[in-house]
Amino acid sequence: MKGLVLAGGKGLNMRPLSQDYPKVLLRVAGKPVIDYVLEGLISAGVDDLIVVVSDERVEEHIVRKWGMHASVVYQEGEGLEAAILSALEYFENFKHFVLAYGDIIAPRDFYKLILDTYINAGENPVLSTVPVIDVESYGIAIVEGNVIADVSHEPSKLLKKSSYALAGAYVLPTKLFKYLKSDHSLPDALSSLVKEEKTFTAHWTGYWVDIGYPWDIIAANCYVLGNLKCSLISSKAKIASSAIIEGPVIIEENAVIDHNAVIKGPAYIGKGAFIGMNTFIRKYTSIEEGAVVGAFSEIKRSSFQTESSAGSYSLIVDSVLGFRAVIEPRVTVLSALAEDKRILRELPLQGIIKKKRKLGVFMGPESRIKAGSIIQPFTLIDAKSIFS
Amino acid sequence: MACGIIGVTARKSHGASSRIAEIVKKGLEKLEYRGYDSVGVAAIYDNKIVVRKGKGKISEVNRRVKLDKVLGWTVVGHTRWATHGAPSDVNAHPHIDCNGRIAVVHNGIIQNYVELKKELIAKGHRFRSETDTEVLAHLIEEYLKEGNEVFQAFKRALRRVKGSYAFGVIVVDEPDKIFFARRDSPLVIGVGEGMNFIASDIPAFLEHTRNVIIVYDGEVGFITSDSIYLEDESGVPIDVKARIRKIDWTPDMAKKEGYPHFMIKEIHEQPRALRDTFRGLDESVEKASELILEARRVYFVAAGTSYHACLVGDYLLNVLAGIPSLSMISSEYKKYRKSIGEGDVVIAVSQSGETIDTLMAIRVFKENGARVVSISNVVDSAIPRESHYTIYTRAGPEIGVAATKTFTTQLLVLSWLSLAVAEKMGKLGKGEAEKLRRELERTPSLVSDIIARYEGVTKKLGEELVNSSNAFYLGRGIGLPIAMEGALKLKEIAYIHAEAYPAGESKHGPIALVEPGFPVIFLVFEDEWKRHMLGNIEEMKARGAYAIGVIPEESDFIEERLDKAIVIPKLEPIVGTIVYSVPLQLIAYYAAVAKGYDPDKPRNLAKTVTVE
Repeated sequence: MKGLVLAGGKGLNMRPLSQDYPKVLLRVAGKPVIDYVLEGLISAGVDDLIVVVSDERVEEHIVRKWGMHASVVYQEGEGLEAAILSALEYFENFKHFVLAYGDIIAPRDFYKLILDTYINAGENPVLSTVPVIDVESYGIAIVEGNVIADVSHEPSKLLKKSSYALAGAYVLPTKLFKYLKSDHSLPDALSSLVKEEKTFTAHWTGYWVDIGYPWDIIAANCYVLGNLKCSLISSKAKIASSAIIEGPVIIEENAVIDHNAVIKGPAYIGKGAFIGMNTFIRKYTSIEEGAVVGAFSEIKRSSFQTESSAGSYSLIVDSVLGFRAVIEPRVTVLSALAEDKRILRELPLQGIIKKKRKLGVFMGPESRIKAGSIIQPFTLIDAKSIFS
Repeated sequence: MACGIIGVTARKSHGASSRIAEIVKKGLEKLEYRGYDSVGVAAIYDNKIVVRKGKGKISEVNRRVKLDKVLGWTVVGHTRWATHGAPSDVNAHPHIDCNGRIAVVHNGIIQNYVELKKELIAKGHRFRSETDTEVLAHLIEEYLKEGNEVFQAFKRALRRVKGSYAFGVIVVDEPDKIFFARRDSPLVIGVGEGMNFIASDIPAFLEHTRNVIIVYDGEVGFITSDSIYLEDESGVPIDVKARIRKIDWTPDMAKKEGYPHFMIKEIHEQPRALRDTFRGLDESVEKASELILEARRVYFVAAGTSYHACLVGDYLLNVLAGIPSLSMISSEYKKYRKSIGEGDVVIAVSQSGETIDTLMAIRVFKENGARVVSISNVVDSAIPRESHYTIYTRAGPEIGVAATKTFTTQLLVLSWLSLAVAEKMGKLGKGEAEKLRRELERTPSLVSDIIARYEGVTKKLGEELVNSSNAFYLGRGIGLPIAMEGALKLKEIAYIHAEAYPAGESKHGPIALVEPGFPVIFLVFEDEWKRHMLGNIEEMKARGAYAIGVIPEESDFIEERLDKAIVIPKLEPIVGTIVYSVPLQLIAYYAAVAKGYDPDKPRNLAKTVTVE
């Protein structure tokens, strides 16, 4: 089956992590976001893929890693609709095709379910749906039995009736292109399609994260790492004899874990990453390729993107450090949100006694926090800027 | 309704002459989820059609009539789920024409079969069964008599039929072919090596081939061992090769209709199950209510989830009709061996109708002279057979081990029954009873709304419970059995230790276990206990409990004391039992999924308990 993957979005809500950095290349537990989508599709038999991109770095990644199954098309124009139409010529001769968003983190079974539903429903169109809170931040589906009755991107219309988000992978008739060409928006086109053709739901109930906001990276890390069933430690990692490693962890080659470091999994330590002496890496943390955590630091439920670093004596919680972001020594990040602070797509509650809502700092690529700073909860730092 | 069909035709080089029957029987086992109250096969051998069929599960019928020993290289099979009319040997498929030269298997409903049957009888056809399906065999016979080719006769017959179908037909005149057609019922073709298949669902033949053609509505055709012919509604042949799909996923997912597990599929099926149960309510309710009215004493007996349904029935009989009744767990029936007898009515509730403890209990009570009313989801199963009256839930086959749709439909039946009794007792005015019945009739749409609106929240709640090893479910009055069922669900599929208590009882002991973060789920109904529940919430909150509530609208004073609330419309308690059950099922399901367990196959549990 042929598939179209959308990987050219600007990721406006994803700022500052996506400032001059393609959202789909942000990493979750060792892999760029887009890889989760492509792996899932290919494993479900959608192995002839066109990926719509708008950034050379994404093209380079796709060609290098997925060249066997995927070709790249550059997005012409702005918006989802333009993105889809950019790939029109590759799909004209087919009846149905798979449309997938490049920024969804879900297990492979998610894609299997969709293809399975398609075959089992007598090759009728299929929209994947997933129950969520905060349904207003997604496209919404109204489902009757296992059939889609309506879809909308205007929450006011369907809110309170449904908690089902459109889950970002669909089997659609190619006449979708016709609708888009005649100036329908994607939601309107989908809404017309489901009224014309019986469209079934593939109702996904497992973990699923739409990487739309910076903290979605943390949620995705929690789910992916939370599902680790065993540890994988490269024989080429350099782990000090006095380091303590508990719970499931992945430690890649050339990672260095220094003396007395403690890693309490589930956690991910990427290629060539460095964990300093006496540092404590807590649950749901990913230290991606080439990232550095200095000595005597404590890191909880955070993501260090590629080549980012934190100096010694720092406390970093519920945070994401963008590409090459730097935290100087002795920085403390606070993360407990005030009770009345309303934020879309909250993270799982944390804390043993008082369950609290928490968000730390989100640093754009190549930004920097000066030594000794205390960072208030929910702080966003622009790319290349210096925070003190 | 759900039935399963299969057909296999192969070259004679495929081993022993009963080899195809074996394949068909195995395929039927894979289709058993679609129905399992009767089963049958038909094969062409030596210019004759041989039919073997019977009532019961595949393994039982096979023991009796040896389905898998039928000879021949062209075989069709069927597994049936009766909803109206009892399953029986005669009504089991396949069905044949007058001379036994045509055999038909069918999934679907022929709406105009009564007229067709009349017409055919007038022409001298003799019918054997009460099914709609049999008319097709006779119609084909009729058109063959007129000198049509078999395929032509088949298509002419189809034109006469109104309704839904997936048909598989074999005819002695063309012993190497299986004819098929589809309208609104699923049908797929399996493309093998010197062996081709038709079936209701892919898993039926997935062991033999992964090359599949999905038959679309209106298409008809036939298979032989080496060829496939398919044409569309207007008779235009279809390029079969272009339609072949290779299936490379696990067969198990296919039958879940777009859901990852049976349990979530069945939770979502509840609106339909409730609606079908309404439609199926018949005079047995009337008769059962009369028995209860005349009874000296009334007892309920059941196990597991069905026992919780009994507690609701028991509550309603007491509260609405003023009839003192008592519920027992069926494995404990011996306590009442001497006390239940002549003049008593025992109401036995069993989804499968085969629960051994319940069966043993009613046997003893019946022998003592008690009358037995049963409530079951499986037509003519053991317990209904041994009961004086049976009221059926029409939930359809339930595959998930944890009962969901069968529980809520049991509640519906018991509520309906209690209303009938209360009305006859004069304890409920006609108007009042009628009003509550109208309310009950809203349950399909209420449940559908609740699922759609709250599945997101319950998913989140389920995920939050993952880190807890204990939970309490508290309710009062009619909410108590619902709390018990909620706790059972969490235990049986998410393996989280959960206990239910009457909310007023919690301070007599259980509260000692509550420490900060301990999840407590409160069921607050729109009834006289609402204010009392607030006190119970306060006392748990004071000890740091994580308080989750399912509460009625306009209860802000309660909502603000809770950590998480699922706010549902204000409902009569009799309706609330059904509606409140649904979020609890979802919470347990999502807790199990988040923990990485398969909710359909909880460890150590079986769907039907047939050992004492």
